[in-house]
Amino acid sequence: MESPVTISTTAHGDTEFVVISGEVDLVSASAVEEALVAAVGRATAHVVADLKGVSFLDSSGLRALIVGREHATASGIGFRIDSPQPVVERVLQVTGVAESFGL
Amino acid sequence: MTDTRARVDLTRQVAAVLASTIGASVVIGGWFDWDVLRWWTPALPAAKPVVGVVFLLLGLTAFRSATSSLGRSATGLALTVSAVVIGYRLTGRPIEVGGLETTEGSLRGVPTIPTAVGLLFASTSGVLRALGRRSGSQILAVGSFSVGGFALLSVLYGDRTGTVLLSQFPGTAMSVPAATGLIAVSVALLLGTPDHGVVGWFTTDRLGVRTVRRVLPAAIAVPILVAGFASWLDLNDRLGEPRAFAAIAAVMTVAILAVAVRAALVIDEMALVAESARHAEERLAVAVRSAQLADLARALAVAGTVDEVCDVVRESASLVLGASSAHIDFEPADADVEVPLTGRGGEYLGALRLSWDRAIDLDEEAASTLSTVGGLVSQSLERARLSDTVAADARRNGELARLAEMLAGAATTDDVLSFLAEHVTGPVGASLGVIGLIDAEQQVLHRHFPPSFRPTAVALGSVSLDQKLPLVVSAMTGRSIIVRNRTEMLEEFPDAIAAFDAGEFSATAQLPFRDQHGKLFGSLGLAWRGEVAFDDSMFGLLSTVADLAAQTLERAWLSDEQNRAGERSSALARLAEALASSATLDDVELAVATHVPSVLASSAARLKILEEPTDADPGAVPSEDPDADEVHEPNDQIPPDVDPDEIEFGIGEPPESNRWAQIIVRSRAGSSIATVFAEWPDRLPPESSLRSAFSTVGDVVGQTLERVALADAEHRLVGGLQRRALRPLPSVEGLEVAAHYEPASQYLGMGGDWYEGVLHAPHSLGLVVGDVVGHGTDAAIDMLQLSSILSSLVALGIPLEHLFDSAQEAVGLTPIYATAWVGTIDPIERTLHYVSAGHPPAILMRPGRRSILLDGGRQPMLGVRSTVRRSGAAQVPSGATIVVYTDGLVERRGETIDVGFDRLMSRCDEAGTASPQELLDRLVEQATQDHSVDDDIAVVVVRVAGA
Repeated sequence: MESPVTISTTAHGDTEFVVISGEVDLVSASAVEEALVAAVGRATAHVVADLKGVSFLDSSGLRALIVGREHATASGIGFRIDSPQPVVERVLQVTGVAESFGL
Repeated sequence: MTDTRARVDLTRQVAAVLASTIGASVVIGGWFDWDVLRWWTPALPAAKPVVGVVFLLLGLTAFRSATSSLGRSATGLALTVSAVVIGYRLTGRPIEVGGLETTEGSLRGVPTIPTAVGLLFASTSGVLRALGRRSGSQILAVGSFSVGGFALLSVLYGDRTGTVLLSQFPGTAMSVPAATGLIAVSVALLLGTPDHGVVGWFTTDRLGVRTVRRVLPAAIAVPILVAGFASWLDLNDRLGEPRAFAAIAAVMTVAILAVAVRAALVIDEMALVAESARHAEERLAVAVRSAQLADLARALAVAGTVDEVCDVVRESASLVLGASSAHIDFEPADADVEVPLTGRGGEYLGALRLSWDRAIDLDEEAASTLSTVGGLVSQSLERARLSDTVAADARRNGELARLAEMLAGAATTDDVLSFLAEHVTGPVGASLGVIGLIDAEQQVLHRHFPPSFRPTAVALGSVSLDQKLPLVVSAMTGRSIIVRNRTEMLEEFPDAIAAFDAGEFSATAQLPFRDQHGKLFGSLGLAWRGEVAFDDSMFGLLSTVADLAAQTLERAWLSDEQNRAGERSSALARLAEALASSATLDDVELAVATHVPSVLASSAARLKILEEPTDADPGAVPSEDPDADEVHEPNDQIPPDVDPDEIEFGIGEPPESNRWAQIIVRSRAGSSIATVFAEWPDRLPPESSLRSAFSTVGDVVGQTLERVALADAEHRLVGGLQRRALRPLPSVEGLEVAAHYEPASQYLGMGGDWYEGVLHAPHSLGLVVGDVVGHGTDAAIDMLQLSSILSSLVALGIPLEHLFDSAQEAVGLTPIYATAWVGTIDPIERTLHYVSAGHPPAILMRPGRRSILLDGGRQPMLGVRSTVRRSGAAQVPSGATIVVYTDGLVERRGETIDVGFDRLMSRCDEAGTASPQELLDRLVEQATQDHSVDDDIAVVVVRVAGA
């Protein structure tokens, strides 16, 4: 099955940007999780998950974000979600994780 | 006596005077070369003295012999004979008149001899008669004599005018009527033109007419007028006879001289005019001839081919000396004139043959013209031959180039074959081309004819390789076979004579095809209907064309092979994709049936899963052929000690049915788990390619089957765990409950949602609805763990706001990510207390009011550390309904989850007073129809019973 998500990572200074777009669901969540964990591993100070292009995020996707943040916290790295679409932001709010991501 | 003597004297004197005058003038003119007098004998200067002497003698004779009747007659006769002799002598040669060379004078002169004789006699007798009548007769006699003399002179001179006058008055004594007629004739002559009228009848030249017009009136009128005057004046009486005669003679002499002078001037002028006209005409003729030659040369210059040269010569016949027909012959033949045509090297090219429909004088000039024309035609012919050869070469090369170009563009073997059969004939000028390709497997030669060739009498298509047809023999032996005619065909290839005759062919050529390794793989056949010369150039061309065709076919085959390989690869990719997404055995069977035929280029394919994995000999696996009654035994020649990692396959080739093949699909452990069976309508692909393709198919199908079997097992495990998690809700008085779990349609999305009910207090229902993130066995186990922890905590009466904290502690270090909703419903107090760990809010339906979301008590989802401790509460009046669900019921891709909540509430409102079970069924059905998200759905509906 084709992955509905595309992930690219770039570094600006001390911040690793993980730009995610597409649908983060059961199929694609593991790839997102890997990318976030890898970014945390590379990062010196901050990791930003850019969700501007994410049109769908289910509980698997949530877990990916949470796992990423857990890793960041354990490594003393800042983790932040950037510009989620309303659809995604509402999911984060409904599931009560928005606050913990600083949204 | 006096009278008689006087008459004799008169006659004597007149004759003497005339003869003397003429003779003298001729002698003097000849002596001094005077133009005026030369007129007398312009055509024969050498005869001048003779003529002069003759006339002098005539005058003397007349003077002396006119005394007796007999003597006078003899004189007349002598005069006449002399005149005729002289005239004939003079006129018997070509005399140039008016610039035209003619021999007519001599022809006309002969018949006029009797006329001249008669007229002379008449003149003489008129003179004699006049002796008896002194006045009028004398005048007429003088006139007649003058006319006769003039006529005679004309004859002598050769001018047709004199001849005319003589011939018009044969034997008539000159009289008044005759003189009148003479004048009338003169007038008619004067009025005539060369083209019509009387003169035109006599003479066709303009100068002749002018001579007549200018000289004749004077010649006629002067003597008549003189005689008339003499008579009127009665000179004889007045002056005396001798004097009168002398006067008349003098006047006559003067008059004749005057006429002569005038005539001489006219003639001189005419001669000049004629001279210049002749020059002009000569120049014109030269110019015309040059122009004609130039035209011919020009036409020949642009003639490009031998045929065109021949056409030019034929059409331009009249340009060559006005010939009526001309043509070039390459074989000897009869013609008026034949001009041999030779090349620059002197070789004989042919002959130019000319005919005229009139007589033609082939003088030197004409000969030179002909030789010029011959040279021109020869050059043109030689050049045209050269250019014909070059053009033929160019045409052949052009055709060859075009063939090569189009062949280069032909991509597949079929393209090449159809193109070749149609166009290979062009460069060699053949009528039919056929391509034969050896099929070693079937032992036949496949023949490809152009679509246009469809004889009814002869079978086309494939022929056995042992048939003795030139095409087959050439393909098998590698020999080029040329059959030059029907006899040769009949002798050497009697089997092919029918096709030869059916096509009305005259010759054929067959050339073998060899690939780059020199291996024979077919042949090219060409057939001609017309003449064909098998010369060196043709042989070269034939072998070039055959090589070209062979190369193209070989290239096309390679390209076909690549295309097929490419198609097979993409078909294989499609198969792999379909297999990858196959979750069940049915999916795998469908994928095989759909995609394997493309991979194997078969007409059908089937997967048969063996009930019990077996290690039995694959050859013994029965295969079913739907189109055959019997079961085909696969080839038993498969080596028994075959490598277990290899996919074995069997090939069946029943005589009257489809060909088929099958492979045994083995697991990684080497046990047979299935067979893939494929069949072909006519013949099997080559075994090597079939084996490799089949082996690949076997590999991917085997892997998929193993994966699907594992997934199936996991599915069953997850399903079992799921079933264990979903126990019936406990019944609590005052509460009507309905619960449902709808698994995801695909295995991938299955697992993780659950609901559970526990008794919370004596009257309360503790309800837990949750959704564990993830899928499969892990998620199912997490779910069971979380489910039992939460249920236990609820049953233990732990405050709801601390419930999730406690649960996370109970779960341990490895977090379980999940959303969960936990609530307690007290039907007595009609209260609801609840907390939600990131779970979709429950819906509260109250009679007569719109549904609302219970969005209190919100805590983060499980697995996320948080310090938020809060719970929600709500009054649940009698008849109120609480709907608790997992996100599968509301979630849709591309929309905010709030839209899903709103939709769900509307649906609840629409359902109205339906029973909890009805409401639940309805909501689940609507959600599954959305098909937006393939996720599990868990729903619990709790209704507070009415008062």
